[in-house]
Amino acid sequence: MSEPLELAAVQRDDVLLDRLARRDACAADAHVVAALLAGLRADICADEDPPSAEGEGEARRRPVVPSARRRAARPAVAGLVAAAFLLSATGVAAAASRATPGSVLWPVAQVVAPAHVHSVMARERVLRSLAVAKTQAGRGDSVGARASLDDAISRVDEVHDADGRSTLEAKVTALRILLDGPAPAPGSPPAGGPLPSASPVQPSPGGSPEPSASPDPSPAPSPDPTSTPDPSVAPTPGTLSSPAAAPS
Amino acid sequence: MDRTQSEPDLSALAARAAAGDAAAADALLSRVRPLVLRYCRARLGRGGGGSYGTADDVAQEVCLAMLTALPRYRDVGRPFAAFIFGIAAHKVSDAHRSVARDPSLLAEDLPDRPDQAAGPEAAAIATADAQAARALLATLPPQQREVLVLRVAVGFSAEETGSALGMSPGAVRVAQHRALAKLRSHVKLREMSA
Repeated sequence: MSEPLELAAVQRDDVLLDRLARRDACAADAHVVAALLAGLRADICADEDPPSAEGEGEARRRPVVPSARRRAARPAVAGLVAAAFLLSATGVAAAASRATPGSVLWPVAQVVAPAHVHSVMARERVLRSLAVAKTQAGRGDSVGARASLDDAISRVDEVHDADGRSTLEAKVTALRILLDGPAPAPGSPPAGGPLPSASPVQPSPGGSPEPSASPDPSPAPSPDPTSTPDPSVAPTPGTLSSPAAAPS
Repeated sequence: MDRTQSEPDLSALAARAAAGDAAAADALLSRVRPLVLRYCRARLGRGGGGSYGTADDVAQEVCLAMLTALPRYRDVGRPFAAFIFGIAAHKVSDAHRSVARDPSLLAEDLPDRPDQAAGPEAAAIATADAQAARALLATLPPQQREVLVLRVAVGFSAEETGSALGMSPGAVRVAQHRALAKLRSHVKLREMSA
């Protein structure tokens, strides 16, 4: 059954298949079989990389660990678009719409559920600004703390309810009261007792504060307003180690 | 073709993706998907209406299965290409079975617009070579067929094909040579009988 192999013929076929895979037109002239296989390859790849003028070799020559610049460009976009195409018709799209930064589906979510991604990124930004504001307040930098708080306030509206907007609002309000408390804030009734008033703020939107909300606004128990900044509490929420919310 | 698309690259990407590196998962998916798509198209061909809809759907399932399995993926020396094309081979087999089981799969929806694409005759002519090639490949033993599909359709080198199929590059070269020899003799017999 196994006839003796002619090494040269084996090598010839190897070269031929390499050329067919490369869509080298000359390869198709070798034999009817080569022509048919070339037709198969062409048919399969007919709609592949249509706009790319760089050729397949170039398209495949992406670095193993792409530089940040290149990743930000076409390959990453192509991957995300591909992922969106993959997932749009399935239940995984729903999973992607709940993805968090760092999860496998996060890049997919950036295409499939951009609104969710925007909301999560806004939440990250708000939490970071609040953490910075607390740290600044702890150092006595009330101007900087105020600016950071304002930054947080400006982003809260971009966070969806499902992503903990009510919790963030409670935190913002608590910190605002903390910062404004000693100052002559006209018309703010709780001006006298800055810290205890932070917790009653919770009832605002959601009614039932999330568990993660409670520890934060409540550095209040300490009677000294300057003791409120507690960097260990504020910085990162759970699993999110996202650097994405780089202040820009 | 550039041969830098090597197994270690894919395995390293997969290991990083499994560890939660979202950028690696993104890169892995963008690298793997075209390969899987070609494989599924080569194995399944065009469906009703002359489109690659079914093959593309199967490729989608393969990629989803890969994404789902990724968090549990551990690089234990088994090439990632073997992992992904193992999934692909199973999905293709499932698709063959389900089509055989359900002959009612003609078209999902009736077209409600005129088809501006080339007519059936032109389409048939354009894809005749591909159909003939698939018919020829179907006459091969499974391993030889897989070798040729990975080499020609997916575009793998002999080394990459060996990684995917658990063969040495030398064994791949011998298998592909024998496969081509069979196909040539098959064609010759047909020509003689015609």
